[in-house]
Amino acid sequence: MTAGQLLATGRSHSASVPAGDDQHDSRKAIMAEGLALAFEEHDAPVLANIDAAVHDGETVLLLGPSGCGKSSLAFCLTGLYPYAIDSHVEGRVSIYGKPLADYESGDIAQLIGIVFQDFESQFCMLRVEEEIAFCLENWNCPRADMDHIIREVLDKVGLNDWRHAFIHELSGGMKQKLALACALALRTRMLVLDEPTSNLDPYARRQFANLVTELALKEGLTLLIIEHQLDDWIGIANRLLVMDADGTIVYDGLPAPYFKHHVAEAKAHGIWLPRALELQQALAEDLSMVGKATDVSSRDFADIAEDADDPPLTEQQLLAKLSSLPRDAQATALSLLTPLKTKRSYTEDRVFLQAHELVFRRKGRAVIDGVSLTLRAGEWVALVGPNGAGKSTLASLLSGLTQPDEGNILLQGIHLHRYAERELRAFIGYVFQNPEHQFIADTVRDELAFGLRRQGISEEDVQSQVTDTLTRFRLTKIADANPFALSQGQKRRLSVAAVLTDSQQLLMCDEPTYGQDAYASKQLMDMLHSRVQAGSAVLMITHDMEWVEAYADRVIVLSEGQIRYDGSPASLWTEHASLLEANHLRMPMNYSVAGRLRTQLAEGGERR
Amino acid sequence: MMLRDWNPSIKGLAIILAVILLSLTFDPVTPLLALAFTILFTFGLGRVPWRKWLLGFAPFLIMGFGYVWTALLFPRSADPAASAVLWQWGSFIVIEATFHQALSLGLRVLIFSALSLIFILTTDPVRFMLSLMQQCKLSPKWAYGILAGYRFLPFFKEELRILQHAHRMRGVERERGWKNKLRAWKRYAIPLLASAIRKSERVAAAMISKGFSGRRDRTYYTELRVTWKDWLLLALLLGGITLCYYLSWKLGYTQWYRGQL
Repeated sequence: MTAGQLLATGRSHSASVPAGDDQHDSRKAIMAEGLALAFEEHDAPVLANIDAAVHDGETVLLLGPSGCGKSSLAFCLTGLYPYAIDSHVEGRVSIYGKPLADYESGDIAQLIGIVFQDFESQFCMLRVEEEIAFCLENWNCPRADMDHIIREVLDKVGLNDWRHAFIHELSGGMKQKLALACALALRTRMLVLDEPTSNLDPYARRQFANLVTELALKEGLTLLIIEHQLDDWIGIANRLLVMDADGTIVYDGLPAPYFKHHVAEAKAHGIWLPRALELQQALAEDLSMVGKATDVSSRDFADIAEDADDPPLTEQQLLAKLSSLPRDAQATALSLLTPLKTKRSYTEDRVFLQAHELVFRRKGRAVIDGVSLTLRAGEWVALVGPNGAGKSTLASLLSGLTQPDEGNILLQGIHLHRYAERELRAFIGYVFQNPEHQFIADTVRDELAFGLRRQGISEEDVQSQVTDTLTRFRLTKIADANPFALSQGQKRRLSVAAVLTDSQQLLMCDEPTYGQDAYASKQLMDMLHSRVQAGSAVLMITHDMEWVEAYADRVIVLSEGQIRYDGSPASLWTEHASLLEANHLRMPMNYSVAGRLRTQLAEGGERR
Repeated sequence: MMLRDWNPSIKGLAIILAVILLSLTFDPVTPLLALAFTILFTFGLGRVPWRKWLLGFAPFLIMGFGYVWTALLFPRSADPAASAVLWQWGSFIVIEATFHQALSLGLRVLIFSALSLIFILTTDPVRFMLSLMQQCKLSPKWAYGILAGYRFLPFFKEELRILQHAHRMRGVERERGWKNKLRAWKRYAIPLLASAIRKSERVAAAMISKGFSGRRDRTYYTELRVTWKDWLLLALLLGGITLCYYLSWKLGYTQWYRGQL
């Protein structure tokens, strides 16, 4: 798939006309008609009235707000529902021209492979080699062939050196590669990727996306991709399927027209926009303002906001678009892309927490190895680094949940261990990665009241505060529900709301936006932001450099238990770029586009 | 290394037979000899790290000592006259028969645990399940299901740790008293169960997506066969224990178990 094909427009984009190679038109990998799914017979359906098709050789991106049933749809289409999990499925699904019901159990696996989101619970064997052998045994592959097939598929995903390793010792990215190798061992013609990279660090994420792209091309695989963060995938997608919160498909067609005509709708549904598109929109706005203010070549600036063209969806396309601008407009765009953030003036400069030479060992190995840092009031600090760098361990040391083996932590000048548990919890709050872990009470209302009651506030005040919080976090309707019965987004909101009612000064957040849609994430970030402005400090563990760029005042790079960098995000992107790859990070798109544009400009200047 | 390569089904059979054989005696000498033999067998034929072995054995050592102690304190043989008094302290009398009985009980615990440790420390869980499928015709549904569950055990430990942290963070103070402890367990049980059910659903879906159908006719990458070596090891273990019996009988100690205690 070339960029040209991607950008090809002017056709009508109904579902029946797939983009890309036309010779595959007749072959339909998956066909669904009138598909509906409910988990209980009389319950409201999760999916309703779905007509969808995936053509052979196509790459389809399935988007939708969190909890809308994207994964459920993918599992229906691949025959996992209702076979593997009790559910009621209506409608017709056929796979490669044959109705689902006509397949023997186990046969579909040889046509469609799945890589799941939760990389821990998709294996049943202990070692890498055994897991692939398990797949081969399932289709009765002759024993004599197994050895070389295992070698071949491990080679394709680059895991041959780990053939005899235990699966639990692999990193998250490697586990997903192993899942991919399993699909290859089954010789599938199609791959379903169910948010495979949502819990990987940026480097592993891109590596995995590149691997899938390369394999799909080489093996001619059909792809159905579900992913919140679509920047890694949008470039290879031929078609979009967009679902709304009610579990129906609202768009089926080429990616470019969707992001051209339905941006407002996408935003309302909480669907992530490609970062390139967001940047372009922001630039167009800024450029037109600059143009108006200076009244210089405003016509050129207007170009970028021009409606006639397809919007840029990838970094490459954004760069191309910017390169086509006149030179002076490019220079303006450059300065707008990487604005100098006005550094927050630490008027009070109150030090909350000071850690000195922390060491923490697990099984003799130093997980945290000589970490010193300071957290001040009104500061938003991002803690980044590769998977397994010790980020969560550091956060739990700083919040006093675990004791360091060496070194000390001062909270407002007093040793952490001299605080009473109650005082400590009143000062430091912690938002865990999985919201369920934090739930204590039986109803949403009690959950929110729990922290308040502990502060010894009168029951009347507690009730009024709870009611207030319920409305603020849009939880009123479900005030009497059990926290565990909520949707993913509601759970996250509740867990954050419950922590925020406790008015702690220092908040630790462990990947708070994990698995959240665009709307929920943005809202959460804004909430934390307002806390920071009110003088609290936030320490946020994250893999998402775009959030770091957008919100953090300071970024700490942690790798192998040691701090590699501690300073402003802007200077990390521009002056310490070598640190990024070494620590599995990635430059935010505005900086990488700006960097490439600058190089182009410089080269152009020399030529002239 | 040989014990590691021993076919797990035959290994299991050998150990079960050895346990049955040793439960027939009720004197302290036979199990003591057998224990010495078993330890020799373990370290001679399998490269078992002694620290790991001791770690596994220690709890049983304590348990065995407990058995001896209780049997001494509350003797069942009512007639002190029939046997020599070994030790007397006030009204607390230890006679020879009781002492032997107690020792025999304690040693029983030790020899059974030493035998089990052979199996636990030298058997790879995957090979065990493969052997159960290939030799004992266990349904693959069960075998692979058990393996998938086995993989999860460490995750639950980790999850419980996170839960404890999370609840502490919310300001739940450490539980004191059995009532609060019980309540705390209820708090932990719900999220743990919820995640267990979710995980099991996920892994089931993943297994099906890899073409697992539970059919018995499947090929195996690792084929486990039973060879003469497996039977030789079985004969060696059981023969050794028989030899212990013979020795203890020669020394005049062997006493059959006739439902004492």
